[in-house]
Amino acid sequence: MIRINSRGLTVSTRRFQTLSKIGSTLKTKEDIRNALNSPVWSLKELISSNEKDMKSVEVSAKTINKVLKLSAFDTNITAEQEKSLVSALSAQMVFIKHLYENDEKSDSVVEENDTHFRLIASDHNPGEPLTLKQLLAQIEELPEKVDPAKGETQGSFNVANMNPRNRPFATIRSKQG
Amino acid sequence: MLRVRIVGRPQKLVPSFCRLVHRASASTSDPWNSLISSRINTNKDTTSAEKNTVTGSSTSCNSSTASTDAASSPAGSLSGTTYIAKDNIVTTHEFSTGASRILSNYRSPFDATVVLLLDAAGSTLLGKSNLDEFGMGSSTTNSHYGTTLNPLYSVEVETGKAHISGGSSGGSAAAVAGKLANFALGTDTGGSVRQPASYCGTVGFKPTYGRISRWGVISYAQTLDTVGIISDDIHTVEKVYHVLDKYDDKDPTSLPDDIRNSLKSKCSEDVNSTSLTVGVPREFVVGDLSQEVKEVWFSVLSQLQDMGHTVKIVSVPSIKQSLSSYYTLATAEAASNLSRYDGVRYGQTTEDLQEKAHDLIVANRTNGFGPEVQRRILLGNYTLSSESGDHYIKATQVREKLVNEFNQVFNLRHVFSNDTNVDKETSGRCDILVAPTAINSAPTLEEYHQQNETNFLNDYVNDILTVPASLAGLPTISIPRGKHGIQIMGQFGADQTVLDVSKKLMEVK
Repeated sequence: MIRINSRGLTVSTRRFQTLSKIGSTLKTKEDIRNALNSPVWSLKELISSNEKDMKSVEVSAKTINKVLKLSAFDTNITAEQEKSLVSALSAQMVFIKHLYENDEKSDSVVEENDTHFRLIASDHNPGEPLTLKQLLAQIEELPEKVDPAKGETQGSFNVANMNPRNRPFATIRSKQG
Repeated sequence: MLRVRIVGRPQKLVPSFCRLVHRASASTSDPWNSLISSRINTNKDTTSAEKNTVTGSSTSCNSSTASTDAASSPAGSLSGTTYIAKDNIVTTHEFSTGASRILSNYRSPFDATVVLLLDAAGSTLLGKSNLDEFGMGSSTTNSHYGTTLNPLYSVEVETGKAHISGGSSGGSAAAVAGKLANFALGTDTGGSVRQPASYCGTVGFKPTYGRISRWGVISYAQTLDTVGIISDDIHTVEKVYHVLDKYDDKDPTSLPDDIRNSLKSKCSEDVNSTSLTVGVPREFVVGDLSQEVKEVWFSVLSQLQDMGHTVKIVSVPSIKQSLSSYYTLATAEAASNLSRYDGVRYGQTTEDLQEKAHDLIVANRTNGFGPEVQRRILLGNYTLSSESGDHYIKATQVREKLVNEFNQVFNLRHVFSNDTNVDKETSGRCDILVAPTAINSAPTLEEYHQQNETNFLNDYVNDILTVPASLAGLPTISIPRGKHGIQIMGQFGADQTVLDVSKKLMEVK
């Protein structure tokens, strides 16, 4: 895991109390059948968003308006649409609450947000840090590394070709009077 | 007008493609001509093309038969083969829509790396397949182009007997099941290759995250999106995988060559394919599994036992939290990725003149995205907002915990692991894990919509069997057993082990 802090990049390994375990060998067909016929939980537990849970999540009209704006969607919605949206956001929050099961504290605000687990090789095994000389050499080499497939050379991406069914330009009318 | 609906019936049902598939596989001696010509016709008519589950490729579909094209393709390990690409994989010769109205007029200025690699290996692209818009869904009903039905069942929608093809790569799986091509490309974010493959009775392989380039794949959730392969022949899947398993410097998430080489030597040393330890994660034994699915699971584990392998029960507790983690990460990443679509530089733009630039963007996005995509963008932005809390960070922590728990279960040390304590004692650990792909076979359209009308989370929780491997980036394949699928999962990077076990299992089917 890569950690970005005031001292720069460091790699650290978070210690978890690991609860996974290797169980017994299923020696016979009967053992296998018994194991598959002994469910340990049900998906209904995840969606049993009972009224109490749903009501504990407060989603105001102001929040709905903010989220619509953040998403660049039309904020002019009907009361019914707003109700549906409140219900969807509440259901999502009840669903997300399962993230905090087995946690000692249920506070959903973390003090540090400089860690971010990803499955990217360089996050876990970063190479040697670059020296200034190497960095400058890389900058020097940039002009030879431009790639038309990435649109990095003049004219390699033609907007008109990308929108063959559209007029090439959008027009915005200035407000009259 | 904002179109937010908790449950959305498809705007239109388009069974024509599936009828064609059904008829082709059932009675027509040479289905290719009719199918290709119909695609050429629809391709000429750009309006009706939008109603088709497969859009034609102008490069490969203008000759009289597909086989002529394939025979003249360049020499390579896939010479003579044909394929179909999910329409969220960009190509220069036709529109790349992601099954969204907002990209219905978008033509990419570059080809995806996977398309270039397949071209170089001699395979011929026949067309692009339908999907849930931007990959968001498990049914291929959330598409601007209509619903793709499952060719294994009746496609008479009126009788209520039509079944969904699964999703989001439902078009790719249906095309393979209908024998339209040797293989199809899909993308798998939380099970979108494996689940439709299972529903349509085909093989669906999601390789390790980072194995196959994502350059040219329209992003949904970039920390999870993986290109996958669907075919009815496991050997074809393996050949295609070997063509695509290449480092790509255009994709920052691509596994570097030194990691690939290290994995190659480790996997060949560590796996003795005649005596494997097979794990059965107890958290996958949910009360919701159908009796048929349990029978299929039992039969595969029994086969493995009869082959001389050891079957063990294992526990990976964080599997129970994986769905909450997945839908936090996926919606947040979707909200970010889809913020680029404004219909100004490219994509569908409104004909109505707007007074402000902002109004233009709002109109384009509100009219351009379907209801499910809008809901996921809103959920993502809400999840990321200060009103709700720091859930994204928490979800990545649960993801990390899940990866560590899988590391404790697998024999093979994780190639990223620098925690030596994790790997002290590996005896008795597993080489592979085996679980069903879906909790039941494909539901009918009616059943599917009824289920989701109650609560949209019903659709989300059905991904419980596929999402854990996505979060951990594990190579996982779904192999068919009738109208069900069984998943074989390996440690991160152990793709070949997964393929080898699958080949053996498919031999003794």
